[in-house]
Amino acid sequence: MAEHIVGPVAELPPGSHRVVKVRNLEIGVFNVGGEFYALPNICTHQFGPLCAGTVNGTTACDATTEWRFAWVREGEILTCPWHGMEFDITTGRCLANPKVRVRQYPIAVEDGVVKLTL
Amino acid sequence: MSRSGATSGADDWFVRPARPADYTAACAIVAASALDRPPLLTNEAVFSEAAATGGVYVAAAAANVIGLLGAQPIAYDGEKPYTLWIEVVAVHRSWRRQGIGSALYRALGQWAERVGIQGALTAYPNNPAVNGLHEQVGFVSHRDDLLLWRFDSRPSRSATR
Repeated sequence: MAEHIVGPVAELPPGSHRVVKVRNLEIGVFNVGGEFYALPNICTHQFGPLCAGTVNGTTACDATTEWRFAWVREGEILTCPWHGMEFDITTGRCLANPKVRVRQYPIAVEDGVVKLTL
Repeated sequence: MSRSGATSGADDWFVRPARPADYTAACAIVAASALDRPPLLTNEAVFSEAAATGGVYVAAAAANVIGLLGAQPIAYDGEKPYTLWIEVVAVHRSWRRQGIGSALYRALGQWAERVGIQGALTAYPNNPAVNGLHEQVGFVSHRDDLLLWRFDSRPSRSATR
């Protein structure tokens, strides 16, 4: 696989993300708590610019929240700006339908540089 | 697979799913068309994997590969491809204007609808011939920066599970 340099790690601190173009495909690169993830900039819903959306959390109401509505997973959820579809950045899975997921591209840090493999 | 529009003898061509052995010929077609080598042609292993997934087709005349269409999934429904990204379409210079590009897309479209794929996307190519082909196939402008070929079938339960 060919490596593509995204940039220095210092330019992508935890909580930040950027969209890069590799050949003719736009890919969103995310730093979630020091771990990097790369997703296509295309939503599965209406093919909107997924990675131009906001990164935040989501609400949950289950045993982990003692069955109260709670704000969880701050910084791990990407919301498409077009229609609000939410995706787990760490897995690519859609929160509304976990069977649906966007592709994740291999990404790593080497010598202080973020590299995408495509 | 799809039958050609060619009529006779040495000009006969046909479209079929790509095989791992097509890797070198596919690279040659891309190089001859002065295109960037797409990710699916990174190496033979990647090409083989992409061919096994589906969405990669070649046009062949006798034993020669004369055209290539390569798409890779960018989204999945379960483990089934759900949305495709068109990485490359190329036809050997001396075989152009014979409907080979359309036939490649026809084969891709038939497969995509069969497995319940939602749509195929690609970037605007800086190439009038490719733009014309995409228009003919049914791609429409989408999102300012993309072309979208939407399949009527949504990922139906029967097709994808």
